[in-house]
Amino acid sequence: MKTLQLVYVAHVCMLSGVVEEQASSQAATLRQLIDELDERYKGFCEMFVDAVTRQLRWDAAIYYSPPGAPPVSVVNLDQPVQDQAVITFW
Amino acid sequence: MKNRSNDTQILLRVNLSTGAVSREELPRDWTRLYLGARGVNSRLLFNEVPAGIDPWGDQNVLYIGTGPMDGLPVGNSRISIACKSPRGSVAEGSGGGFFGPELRRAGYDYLAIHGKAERPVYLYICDETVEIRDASHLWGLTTDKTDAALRSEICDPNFQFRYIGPAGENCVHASVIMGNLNNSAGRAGCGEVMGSKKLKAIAVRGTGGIRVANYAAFLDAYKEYRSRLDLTTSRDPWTPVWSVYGAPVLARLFTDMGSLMTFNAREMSWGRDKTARISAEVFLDDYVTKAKACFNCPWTACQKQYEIPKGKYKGFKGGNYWAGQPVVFGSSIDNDDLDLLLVISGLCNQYGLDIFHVGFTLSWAMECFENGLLTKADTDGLELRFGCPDPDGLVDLMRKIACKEGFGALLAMGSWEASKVVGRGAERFSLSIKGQELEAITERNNYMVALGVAVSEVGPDHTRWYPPYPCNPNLISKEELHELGVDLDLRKAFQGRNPEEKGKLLRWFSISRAIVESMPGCVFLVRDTLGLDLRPWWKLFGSATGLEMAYPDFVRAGERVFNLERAFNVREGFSRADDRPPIRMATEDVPHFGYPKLSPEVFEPMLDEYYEANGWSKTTSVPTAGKLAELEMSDVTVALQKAGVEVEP
Amino acid sequence: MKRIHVIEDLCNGCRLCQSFCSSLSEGVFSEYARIQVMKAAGEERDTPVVKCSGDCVRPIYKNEIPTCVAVCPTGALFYAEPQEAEEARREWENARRQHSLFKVIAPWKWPLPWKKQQEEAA
Repeated sequence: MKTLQLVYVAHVCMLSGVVEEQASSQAATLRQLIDELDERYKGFCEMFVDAVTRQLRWDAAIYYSPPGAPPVSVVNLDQPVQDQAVITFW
Repeated sequence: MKNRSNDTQILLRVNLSTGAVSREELPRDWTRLYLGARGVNSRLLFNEVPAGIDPWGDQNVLYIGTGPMDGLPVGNSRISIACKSPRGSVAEGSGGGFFGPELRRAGYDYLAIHGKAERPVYLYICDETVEIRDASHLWGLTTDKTDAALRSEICDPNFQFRYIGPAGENCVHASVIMGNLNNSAGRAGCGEVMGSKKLKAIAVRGTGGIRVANYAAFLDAYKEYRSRLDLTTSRDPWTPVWSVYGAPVLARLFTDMGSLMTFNAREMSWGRDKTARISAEVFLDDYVTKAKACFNCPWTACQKQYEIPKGKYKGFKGGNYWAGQPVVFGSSIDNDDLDLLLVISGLCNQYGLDIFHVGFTLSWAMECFENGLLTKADTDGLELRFGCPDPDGLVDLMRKIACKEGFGALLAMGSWEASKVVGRGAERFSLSIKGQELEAITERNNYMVALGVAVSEVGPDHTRWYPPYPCNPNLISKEELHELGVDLDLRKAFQGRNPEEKGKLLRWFSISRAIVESMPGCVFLVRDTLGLDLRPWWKLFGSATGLEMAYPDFVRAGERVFNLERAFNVREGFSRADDRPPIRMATEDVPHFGYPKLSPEVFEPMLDEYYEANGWSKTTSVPTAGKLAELEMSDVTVALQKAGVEVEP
Repeated sequence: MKRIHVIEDLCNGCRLCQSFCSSLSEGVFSEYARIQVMKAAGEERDTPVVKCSGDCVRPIYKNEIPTCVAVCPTGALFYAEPQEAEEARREWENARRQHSLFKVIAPWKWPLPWKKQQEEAA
């Protein structure tokens, strides 16, 4: 079980209802994390995953910070998720 | 007023010293060579404002330029305002609102304001009628009161205005020219120069229309352009965010990245709690009353009017909370009270003050105060510390800066000049380049920005090379990039702290932005692939004007523009030595993130690459004769040599 | 019969509607159009005034929607039967009560998912 800091920006807050939260997760990759979040916040998948390519949508962005390091823009949804990571959904 | 075609460019000259008014058609090939707006202004400025003149004197010329896209639903109909800056360089800035289309519909593409009036005046333009009218009853009024006074005395709500506030009247450093209440322009010196000419405002009404050359082709080109920007089809994560919430959204991300200037950029992270309190989300929830847009903008809510809902400042109204204010009135001065932030920002608009000048001079002063270089005796008793323990004093300071009263007089000089007065090393706290304050973009972890702000001819200005981040790499192939003349390793070029390819990247975006600003087009429209792929702009330009240009010629026009601006600067004595980072960025590492300072080992090779890519001398930055000849500007070589500037072959 | 309806609160004053309408018959962009946006003093309000049935001279997207409605970025204009218009208005007011985003855009113009907190009572 991992502990993640999740930060939601702008219109993403219309799904999450909060601007940020600490969450427990079993996700191994970002893709799995999005699926987990979609169960809690219906529409999360639709907002971030392109229905056709199954990649990150053109009009969405995710920034991933490994523990203790600054955020980097995500390209590949199958990248691993580490414990104590900070993930910003844009 | 008759309808006009879109293939001529008319200049209206007004001499405030003599009262003379004249019209002339600009040379026909200027459209091909310089496009319009900023491009044509750069040529006019170089031709008509000789080296060494007093920027506050009667030989300086204030140009207000539209372009072939003004009045059309492309580019948001900006205006380019240009003159010689009191800091000696080109001063050029872009403004939004509704002034541009009105000026073109009156039959004028450019205004050139020469001379100086003896007493305050405003310029009244209504189609063919051009009058210089007394403005002594307007002098001293804030911009919102000026707007209301002009609207009621002219008795026609269709008029559009541009005006200065008390800051411009008093020639405060970096003061701006405002319009439609909250649209500012010309922070590089245009407001000061307008004030020095005793020109309070320009009122314009135009009843004509603009005929595009090929309407069917224009509509097709519009649809392609609109699809890159529209909320439903734009392939850019900034589109949904910018077009409704706005740039303050960046603050929470930037604080994590070490990109948020805090305590006068001594640190680069403010923490998520504080940034959340001044966030775009809170702003939209609690303060926004209405969305506003510039002429024909395809976005929903770039500008937003606000009203403070409760508390000490309840009822205060203002507009436009964008990328600068969360930093200059937030993290940099350590103020997390959004009410106070929005009041100060609103007052800057009312007084016609530049937010970057005010914010970074305040944080400069706070650091001086912390270090004992300024005391309460200097600050009229104001406890000028980070964290803003005296918010009422800060609010009152806006008026004092605009009116150069008391302590405001020192701050009104700008942090660089004020450092000379304070002495004792105060300049190391001044976040400025060429005497002009920075904008709020990080440098020590984004080398494209570091180079871009340093070389910018008007002082730090991101709009001249935006964006400092790539579009999605899957949107545009290497082959396509090559076809477009962009021969760069984009992935490497956009790596924040890799000095390689930065010079070449900056050259490309300097060209790209020069083209778009000469259409003219708003910087926020550089979304999707519109910064790299200029073909949509080229098609719009061609169908609107009827001018057939090969794509490489269109691109070359952009290159001419910033070469002219560089030529103006070198003729005034600017050189490689002036293209450098602020002292803090060059000498201090960023704490907590380990981003090193911009040492000469890092910076100088990037500058070399930029000059070399541009065909400029590596020692002096002067464009070479070969480059100027390639750009069909050998007359510039002659003019520079005549002025005693050495031009390498 | 369908007409062009207006939600004034959503108009941001861009005048895209007015610009395009003015150009449809002759390719001349001007202020003269069958929809005009009146701007109040102090930039306090923008009001589209429609003098047209919605039969575009030349709908530029070649669909059933008048050009002004098609180019409006906020959803302040929409083309509907009167009863549909009333429903749309209620839908907007309901959405605005739930999320501040809909102060500036109509829910039918926002392309991304959002959480609908409660449905209107039937």
